[in-house]
Amino acid sequence: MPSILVVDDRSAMRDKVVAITKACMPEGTNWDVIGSHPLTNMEDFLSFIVEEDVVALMLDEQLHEQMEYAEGEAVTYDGHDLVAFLRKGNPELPLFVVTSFAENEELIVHEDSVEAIISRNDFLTKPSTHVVRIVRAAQRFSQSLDQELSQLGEIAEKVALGNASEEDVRRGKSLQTKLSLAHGIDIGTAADFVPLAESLVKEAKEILAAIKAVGKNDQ
Amino acid sequence: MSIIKKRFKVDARALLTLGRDSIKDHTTAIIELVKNSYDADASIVEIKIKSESAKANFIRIADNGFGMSEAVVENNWLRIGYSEKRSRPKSKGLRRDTTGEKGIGRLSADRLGRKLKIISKASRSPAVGLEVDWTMFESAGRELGDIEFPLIQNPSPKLPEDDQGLASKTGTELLITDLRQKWTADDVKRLQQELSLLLPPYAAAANFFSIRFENDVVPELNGAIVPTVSAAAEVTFDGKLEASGVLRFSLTRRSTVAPVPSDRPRTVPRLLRDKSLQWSQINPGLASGKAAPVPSVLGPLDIKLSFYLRKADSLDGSGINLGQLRSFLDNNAGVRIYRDMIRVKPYGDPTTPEGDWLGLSERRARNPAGAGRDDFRVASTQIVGAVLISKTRNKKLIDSSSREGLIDGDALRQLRSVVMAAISQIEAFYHAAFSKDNPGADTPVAKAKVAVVNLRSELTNLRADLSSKVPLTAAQVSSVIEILKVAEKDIEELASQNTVYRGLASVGIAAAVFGHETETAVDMVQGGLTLARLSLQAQPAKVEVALAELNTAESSLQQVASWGKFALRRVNKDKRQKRKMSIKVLMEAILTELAAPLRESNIELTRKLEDVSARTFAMDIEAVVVNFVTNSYFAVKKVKSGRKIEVVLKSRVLGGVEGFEISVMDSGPGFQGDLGKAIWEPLFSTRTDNKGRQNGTGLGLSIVKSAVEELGGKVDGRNGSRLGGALFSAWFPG
Repeated sequence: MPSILVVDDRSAMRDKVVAITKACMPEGTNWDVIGSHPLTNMEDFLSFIVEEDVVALMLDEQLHEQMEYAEGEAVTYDGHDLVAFLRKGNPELPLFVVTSFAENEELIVHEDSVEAIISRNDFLTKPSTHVVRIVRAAQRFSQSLDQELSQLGEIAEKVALGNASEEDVRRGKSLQTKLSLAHGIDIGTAADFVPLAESLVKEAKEILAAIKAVGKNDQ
Repeated sequence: MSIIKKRFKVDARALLTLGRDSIKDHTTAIIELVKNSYDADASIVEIKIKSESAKANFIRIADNGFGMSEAVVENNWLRIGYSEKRSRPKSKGLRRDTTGEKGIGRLSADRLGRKLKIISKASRSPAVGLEVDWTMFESAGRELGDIEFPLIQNPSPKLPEDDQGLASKTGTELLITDLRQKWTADDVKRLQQELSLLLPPYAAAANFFSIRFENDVVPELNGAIVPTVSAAAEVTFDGKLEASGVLRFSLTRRSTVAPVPSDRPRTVPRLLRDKSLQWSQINPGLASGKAAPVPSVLGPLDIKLSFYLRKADSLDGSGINLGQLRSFLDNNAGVRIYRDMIRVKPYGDPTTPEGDWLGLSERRARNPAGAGRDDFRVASTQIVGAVLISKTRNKKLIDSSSREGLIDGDALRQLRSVVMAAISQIEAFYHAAFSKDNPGADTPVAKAKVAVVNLRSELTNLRADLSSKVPLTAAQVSSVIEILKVAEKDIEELASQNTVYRGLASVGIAAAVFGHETETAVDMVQGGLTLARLSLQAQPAKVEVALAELNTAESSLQQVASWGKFALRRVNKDKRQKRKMSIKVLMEAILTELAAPLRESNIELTRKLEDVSARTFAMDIEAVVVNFVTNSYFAVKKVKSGRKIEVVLKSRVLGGVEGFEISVMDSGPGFQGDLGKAIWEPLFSTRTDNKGRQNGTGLGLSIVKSAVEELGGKVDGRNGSRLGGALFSAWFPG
């Protein structure tokens, strides 16, 4: 099930945002809203997003205020750092920064990289307006993702069958990068592998033919 | 052809013009005669004035100098204008710098009375006496050389006795009779003061030169003349170095000092008795690098030092004015060495570079800090002192054969260390007392106030001098003094406003830091209300959820309200007044308020507070606590785990002054590099973000420094605290 991910280091506030987002979800949107403390390593978000089928991400700017638990560790990055990181691998995932630090200069530098910077107080005051926007962006992303996954599936099949054109391989690689698929088909390797496999099969056939010929001679 | 020559003839009256008419007044006349005794190497001069009886009046001046033989009287004393001092500026035996060279000082006797008996006894010569009747010079037309005086038959001078009651075997006695002027009480007082200014400092202590004074006009002034300026010394040091190397001493501060504001009671002791320094404390430098400390090679010796302020307001009640003090110090500043009554030159001579044998001028030039700073150094022109040694007990202090002074060996170096240790004691003592009396004396406001007070004091002196002579100018000076009084009040008001501004700025800084927490609490309220509303709008309505949300919203609201109160409490009017309070209670309250928002960032705030009370400004103490804690708040947030801040309050004696210390340490990464004093400067921020960029206002520590120093305290900051991060501390007297 697609989900909207809320990332905030303050659990009380995170729970509140999750609950409000759930409550304001348009009717018929059968999506989950999940909350998470910032992950220790930003890289882990890539697989987390895939595994949890995240279609939109709401994150706070200040992520290192609180530890996940008393003996834990606070992260060393801020919201805008996470935005910059995710954008490299996933340019179309809808990112919404919901924060008290909407005027933060460093965040504003990354304004073009996110769908919106929302003042947290504004979100809490008019949650429906914002949740509808977020869901709409998530739907667009989700549909686009479905289409692209479907295309990628077709290309992968062609590659597997050795029918992929150069254009198919290029497009496949591009989709793979865009979708940041951690465990997808390695289009490049597959494309290289098919001719190699074909030559090996040809070689094997030749060897087999040679063996057969030797056997006949022995007889 | 022979050339006819003519020559001057001297009318007898010319002598009166040189003597009687050229001497300003009768006190000056006596001073001139006393100077002659000094130049004759006298160590004791007796002055007796009997003026109350019109018939039996006389002035007697007797000394135990080297005296005169009949030949000397004939060839020198009776030869007007002759001065041995011109060709030999040092006295015969003690090599004193002689004071007169005009050869007319003896004529001062004529200014005092019409008749003079002079009886003198030199070593290996019989006593000689002469009776002089000055009125004989008043006859017109007589040649000076024609006037003759009879020798006294079998003269026997009455010469001063030493401490054992033995009369001196040499010396001169002057007996002046038929006095020209009756001595008033004012005359006698002026004479006594001028004599005291004439005395080299500590000369009597060195048995070098003393004046015994007796009169029948103001009998309470009878006795040995003491240098009046000693009464103006701010601090006196009286010490004795034992042969073992232990220096035992006492320090005394003037009891009559400039009035201090009533809200700053003095608690610094005026007197430190029975103090001592061990040799290892005095002379660690010489011992360095060697296995065993170099023992003292000095014999027992005495050190007497006086420290002067050279400020008008320091002279209240001393009986002398600033001009007199300055003149005295110009002539006498320095630490002199006396060996068996004889001054060892050039040590302590203010007019020669070698005189500053302790290097006080250079030391002061390197560090011109004021008395409010703990590195305060006295100026060479502020110290007058004497080191009294004896040849037999200080055999290692040997005269140099090539020049004036002592051989610059270990003994002299050790002597220098001993005297410097004594001077350091004066500096520390005065610094502590000054800091106590003038909290924050190094701040611009305090300096401005001191400048105004000094100016007012000088003007007051000036007005006193002028009032009798130029009444109009005195009136103008009075109006200036009134204006200065107003200025002084304004400055005090300004200082009080500073406290308020510091309090407000600290609230501002705290608001910037903890404002985020408050905003989060407001958001929690908003979020709770929104959820409650959504829960009630849901189908079916979730009433339980709505109620739960309203409850959490309420607790968040209380958090917001407590922050509003925090700001108001910091600027409460009561906290702007200096009063006795429990510092512990004050800190408990503010730390409890700070602990809540700190918890929101997983910061553990611990406190170790001793039960300390003091008379101070609550607002300044709070400003210190708020700024230290906010500094640590930013620091610990840079670490991922184990965020800890510890606040300690304890009593602490610093530099002999009782007080208390507030210190705050944290588990942050510490401030970068050895920033020293820079961290306390305005607009210098120790605070950086995760990426190392400065993100503080740079006001917090500067506010702390200003508040602490105005209260006479000290600040300190360093890395490597017990918790791993920085430690900042503020010490307050009281």
